[in-house]
Amino acid sequence: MNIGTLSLKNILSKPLSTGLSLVLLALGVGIISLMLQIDRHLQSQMTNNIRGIDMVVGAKGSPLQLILSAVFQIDVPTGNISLSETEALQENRLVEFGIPLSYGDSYEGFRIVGTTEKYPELYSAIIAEGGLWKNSLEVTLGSKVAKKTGLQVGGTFFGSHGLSEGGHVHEEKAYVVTGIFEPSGSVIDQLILTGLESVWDIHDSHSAHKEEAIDATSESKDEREGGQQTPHDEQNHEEHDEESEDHEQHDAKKSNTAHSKSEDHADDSHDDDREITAMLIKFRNPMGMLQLPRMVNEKTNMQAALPNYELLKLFSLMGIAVNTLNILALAVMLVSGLSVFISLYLALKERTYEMALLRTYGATRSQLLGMVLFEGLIISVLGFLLGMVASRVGLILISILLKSEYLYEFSVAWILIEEWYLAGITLVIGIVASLIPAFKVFNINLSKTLADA
Amino acid sequence: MLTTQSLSFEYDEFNRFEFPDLQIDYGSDLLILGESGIGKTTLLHLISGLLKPKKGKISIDGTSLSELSEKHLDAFRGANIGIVFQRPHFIHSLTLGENLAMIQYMGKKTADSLQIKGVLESLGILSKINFHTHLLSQGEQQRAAIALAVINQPKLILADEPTAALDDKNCIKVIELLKSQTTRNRASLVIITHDQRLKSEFEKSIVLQSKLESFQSKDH
Repeated sequence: MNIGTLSLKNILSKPLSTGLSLVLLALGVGIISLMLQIDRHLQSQMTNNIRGIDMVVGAKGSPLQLILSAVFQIDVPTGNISLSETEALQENRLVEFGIPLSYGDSYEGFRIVGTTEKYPELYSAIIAEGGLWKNSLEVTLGSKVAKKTGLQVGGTFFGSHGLSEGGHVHEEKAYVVTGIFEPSGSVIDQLILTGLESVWDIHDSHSAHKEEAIDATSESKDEREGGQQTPHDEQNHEEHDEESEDHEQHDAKKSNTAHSKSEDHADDSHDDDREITAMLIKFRNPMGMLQLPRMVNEKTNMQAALPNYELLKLFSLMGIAVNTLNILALAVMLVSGLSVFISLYLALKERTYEMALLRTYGATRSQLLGMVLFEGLIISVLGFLLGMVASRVGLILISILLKSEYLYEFSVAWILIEEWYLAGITLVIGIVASLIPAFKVFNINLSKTLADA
Repeated sequence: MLTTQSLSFEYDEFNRFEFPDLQIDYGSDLLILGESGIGKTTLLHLISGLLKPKKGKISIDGTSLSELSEKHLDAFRGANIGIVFQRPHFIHSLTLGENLAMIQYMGKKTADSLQIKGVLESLGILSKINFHTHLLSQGEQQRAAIALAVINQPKLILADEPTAALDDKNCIKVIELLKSQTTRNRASLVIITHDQRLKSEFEKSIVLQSKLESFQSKDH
C-alpha cells in the first residue's frame, strides 16, 4: 500500500466520473491522432506516386480527375486523346520524356494499363519473377495483384470491360502473365501492366464483335455509341459515368475499324488514328512548366494538368476539413481536462477530511500533493493510450474500407512525432486540471478540517 | 511521557485558551474533562501537533514538538501518536484492511498484515477486513477507528470525545476497548471529553476551567 496505489484506488472508486474523463480525453486524442495519420499517409502516398511527373496530358475535363485517374489510378479517365498528337508533344524540346497510358479494362478490380517500359522504370519497379511484357497480350503484374488474384507467371486471364468488377468479359483473347513486380509502395503494385498494343488489339476485336451484335439486335445502342465519335462530343461525356467513359475507349477504336470492318481489321497500323487515355510528361527544364501547359490547353484538343499544383489544391481543401476537426477534437480534450478538474475538485471537497486524516497519520503535504497530481496523470495517460488505440482501430477500419473500395492499402505508422506532442499536450491538460485541487490539498488547515467534521 | 508547560493558544483576541500543565507517565491514563467551547479539541490538536501553541512547550517521549519542522512533525505524529476522533473517518476508497495498511505506510512502518489481523482480532472485527468502511455498522466503525489509532503501536493515544454519541452500555465497551488496546501496546492514553460518565473509569482526571474571563481582565 502506497500513495500510488491509493491514487489508483481513488480513481477506481468513482468509475462514472473517471469514465467520463477518460472517454472525453480518448475521443479528443483519437480524432487528432487519426487526422494526423490520415493526413501524413495521404500526403506521403500521393507525393510518392507523383515521382518525376511534371504534367499529365489527357482529354479535356476536370484537371483533378485527370490527375487522380492517370497518376493514382483511382478516378475514371476524362476521355481519350489522339496518340499522334501526344507524340508530337513528345518531340517538343522542353519534354524530357512522355509515358503514354491507355486503360479502361480491369481484372478482378485491378486496372489493366497499356503503356511502355518507361512507366515501371519511373517508379523503379523491379521484376521479382519472369520479365516485362514483350508482345501484345502479355502482361506484368503488380505485387498486390499477384497476391490477391493468385496469378502466376505463365498464367492466363480474361480482362473485363470497365474499371470495376462485373463488366463485360473479353472472352476472345486471354492475357498471358510474363512477369511479376516486387512491391514498390507505389501505384504499380495494384496495376496490371501491358503494352499499348494489347489494349488496342483487345478492343479492335471487341468492338468489331460488338458491332455485329448491335447491328443484329438493337439500334438504340448503336445510336448511343455512334454519338460519341466526334472529339467534340467527347467533352460532353466527362461526367464520372464509368459506363460511358469506358465505352469511349473502344468507340474510338470503332471509328478506326469501321472502315475495314469487312476486312476483319487486317490493317492494324493506322497509328495516326490510335488513341490513348493520358500521357505522363516530365519536363527537361523549368521552362516547360511555363510554356507547355498553356500551349497544350490553348492549341490542342487536350488538357494539361500539373499534379503538384492539383494536389496542393486538394490538400488545402482537405486541410480546412482536417483543421476544423482538429480544433473540435482539441475542444473535446479541453472539456475532458475540465471534467478531470471537476471530478478531482468535487472528490476533494468530499475528501478534505480524509486528507486531514492522512496527515494526522503521518502523510506529508507533498505526499498528498503527489497523490492528487498522480490521479490527474493516471487519467491523462490512460486517456491518451485509449485514444491511440482508438485511432489505430479507426485506421485499420479505414484501411479495410479503402482496400475494398480503391484497392489502396493504408500502412499504419507506429507513432508519429506529432503524436508525441499530442501526448505532451494530454499530460499538460492532466497536470493543469489537478493543479488547483492539489494546491488546495497542500494548504489544507488540519485542525480546522478535523474540528469541523 | 507527555508534559506540557504553560500552554496557551489564541484563534483571535476573543478566543484565547490557557491550559493547565499536564504530566503523564509511560503507560498511564489521563481523563481531561471540560464543557463545550472550553478548548478541549484545541488542546488535543496542540498535543498532537496539528496546531502550534502561541506560548508554552509540549514534549512527547523526550521530543519537543515546537522544535520539529512541519514535515518531521507529520512523521513524528504518524509514528508516535494515534488519534481516535469523535466520529470515525476512513479513506473512502479503501477497505478496512487497506486503510490500516495505508496508515502503516504513512507512519513509515513496514507493511505487517499479521499486525493488522492481530489488532482487528482483538477488536472483534477481523471478519470485516475486506469490507469497505462505509459498509460497516456504527459500532463496527467505532472499533475500526480505534484500530486505525493503534495500528502503528503509538506511544500516545489521544481520544476526542470517543463516547459522546454512545449509550451507557456502548460507552463502557468503547472505553474498555481503548484501555485494553492501550495496555496491549504499552501506550499512554489521553481522553478528552465532556462525558461525566467516564469519570469513574479513570483514576486520574483533570477538569478544564474557562480562563477567558481572567484573560480579558488582564488585558484591560
